Amino acid sequence: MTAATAPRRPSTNRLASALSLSRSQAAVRALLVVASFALVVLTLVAAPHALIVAAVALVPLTLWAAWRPESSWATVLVVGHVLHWVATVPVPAGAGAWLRLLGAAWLLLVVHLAAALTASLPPGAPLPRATLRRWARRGAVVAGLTLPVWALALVAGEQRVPGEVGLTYAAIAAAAVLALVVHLLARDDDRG
Amino acid sequence: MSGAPAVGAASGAEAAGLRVSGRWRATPAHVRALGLGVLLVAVGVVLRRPDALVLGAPLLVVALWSSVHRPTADPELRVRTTAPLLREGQATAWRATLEPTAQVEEAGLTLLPTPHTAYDPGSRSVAAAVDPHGTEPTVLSVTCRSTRWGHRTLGPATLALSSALGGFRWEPEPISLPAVPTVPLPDTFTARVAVPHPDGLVGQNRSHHPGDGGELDQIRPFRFGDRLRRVHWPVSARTGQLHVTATHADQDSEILLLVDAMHDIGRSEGVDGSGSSLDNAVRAAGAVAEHYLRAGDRVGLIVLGARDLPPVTAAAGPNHLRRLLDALARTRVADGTVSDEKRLRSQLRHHVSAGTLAVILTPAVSPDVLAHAVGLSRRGISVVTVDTLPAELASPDLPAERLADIAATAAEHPDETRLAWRIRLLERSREMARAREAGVPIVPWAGPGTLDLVLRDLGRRSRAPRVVSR
Repeated sequence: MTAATAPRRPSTNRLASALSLSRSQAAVRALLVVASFALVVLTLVAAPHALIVAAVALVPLTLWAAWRPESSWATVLVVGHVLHWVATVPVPAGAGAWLRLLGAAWLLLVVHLAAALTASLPPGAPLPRATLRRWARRGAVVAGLTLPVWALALVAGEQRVPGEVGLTYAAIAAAAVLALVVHLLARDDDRG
Repeated sequence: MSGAPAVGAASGAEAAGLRVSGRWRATPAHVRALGLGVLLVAVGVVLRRPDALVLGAPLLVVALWSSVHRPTADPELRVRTTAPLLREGQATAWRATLEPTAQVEEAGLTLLPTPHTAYDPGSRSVAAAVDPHGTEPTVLSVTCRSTRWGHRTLGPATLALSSALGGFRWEPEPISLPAVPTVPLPDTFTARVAVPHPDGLVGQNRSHHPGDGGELDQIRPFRFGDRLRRVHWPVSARTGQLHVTATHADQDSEILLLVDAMHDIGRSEGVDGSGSSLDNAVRAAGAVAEHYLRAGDRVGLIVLGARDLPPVTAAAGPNHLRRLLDALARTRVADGTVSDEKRLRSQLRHHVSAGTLAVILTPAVSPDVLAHAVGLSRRGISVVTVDTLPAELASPDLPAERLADIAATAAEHPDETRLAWRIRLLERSREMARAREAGVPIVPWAGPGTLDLVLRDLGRRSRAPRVVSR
């Protein structure tokens, strides 16, 4: 087949094959890149004094983490996003700021899950549809479980409820950890 | 990919495969989610930063989800190749079978590339979604098509299983299975002319001597000892005297194949592409062996210059063909060291029985092998030399892209390499001319009928008186 008669392939396919990636792996890594860039933009929008240096540093870090999601650079990327947000965005005040915070949490979740999924399976292998559906479903569940925490934080932040809010958070976290420990111990007893 | 079916099927013990062991470990993603989630929630609580709490919550949920579904049992995973033996162009599958195991959700397999092997899928990687509650085993399979004779070590392979949300990973050490022998796919070969000196007991070659056989010699008067069923009644009735049908004896002969593995010249692209001199020699030897073994003759093999490959004694039968092809598959080109030269000299002192037809397959680059052919011919052995040098390399003006096929340093010194090759070809043609003058026919390998003309000449010559040195 000559070059003139060869069918044209989309540029994304050519890029994916050059990187020895399957199309689905390339798509999930592209999702990681998009979510990371969106989080950078969201942080810049939410921050009153944007830290451009951090944003610029996160761009190549994103590309490298998408190229090697199994490496520790993916962790560095997630930590970098968190530091960027916490350092530049003040405690939310107002509906818009709280919505941006929820969006940032979901984007951070997407970055983490995309990196974890692409690191779980060989880069050259197409991701099974069942795997993609399973991860999407669970990601949606986790995103949904974030809503009560976000709502609790929103209510606590907006209404200035009396009492020590920090202790309330600590009590909730302690109850959750206690429930998890009880569950794990009960499970080990059943197997033993 | 449409690989032809494999030669044989795996036996029961091989079909079960090799059990692989490993252990579950937390992944960097799980450590990231757990560590960062706990840290952010703690920062949110202690420093009164609800944004940190909200950012850390999904990560902590992911970490808790992975921990709740943490696998505790080792999976039962077996790996194997589906075919124990291949012919060139045939395919086998590198297969991993995972028995149903709780909490295993994803499985992936990747094979490292092996020379002269085509893979399907081309990425050599497959992935599967495992149903944690299923009852059927999960199979990961990569099809490997061997495109050249030899022993193929497929892999090593990397296998990995993952739990929920990629929290834990089970990954054994890279797995190497025993090499799969790929026997050469013999070229098409037939010879209509019988070998010059059949001397065995049974076979399909017509002997010069009378005896029991299938080919008519003459109808002659009855002699004492003739069997009555040999009486030819029409002639006996016409002449009034008993006549019998006399036949030539059917005998087998011994064929000795000498494969020159001192050099491998040319580009080896497997069964679908161009062949090197050793490719041509191995495939031609397989074809000649298959033809004569089917004709009932005995065939032996000596690979000149090959290490760890003892001579195969001449024998007959289909099992012997398998033995010969397996020996050919283990052929490796000599390194060109002093020990190889010594080995060649010791191999050239092999015994050749009278009446043997020696077929020497050589690119005729090594003068020792041609000298050996001349020596055998002078001892009265019927010798045929098959030139296996690829035809495109026999030209003195090689294009630049083919120079690398004959010398590793061609890229640095193309002009010197071309000049050296021209000189070598001149010497080769002179040595071949001398061998021909000494009575050793040299023919290029051309598939069916390659040996017919020279065998006919050898047959004529064998019936003429001649002087031999023993």
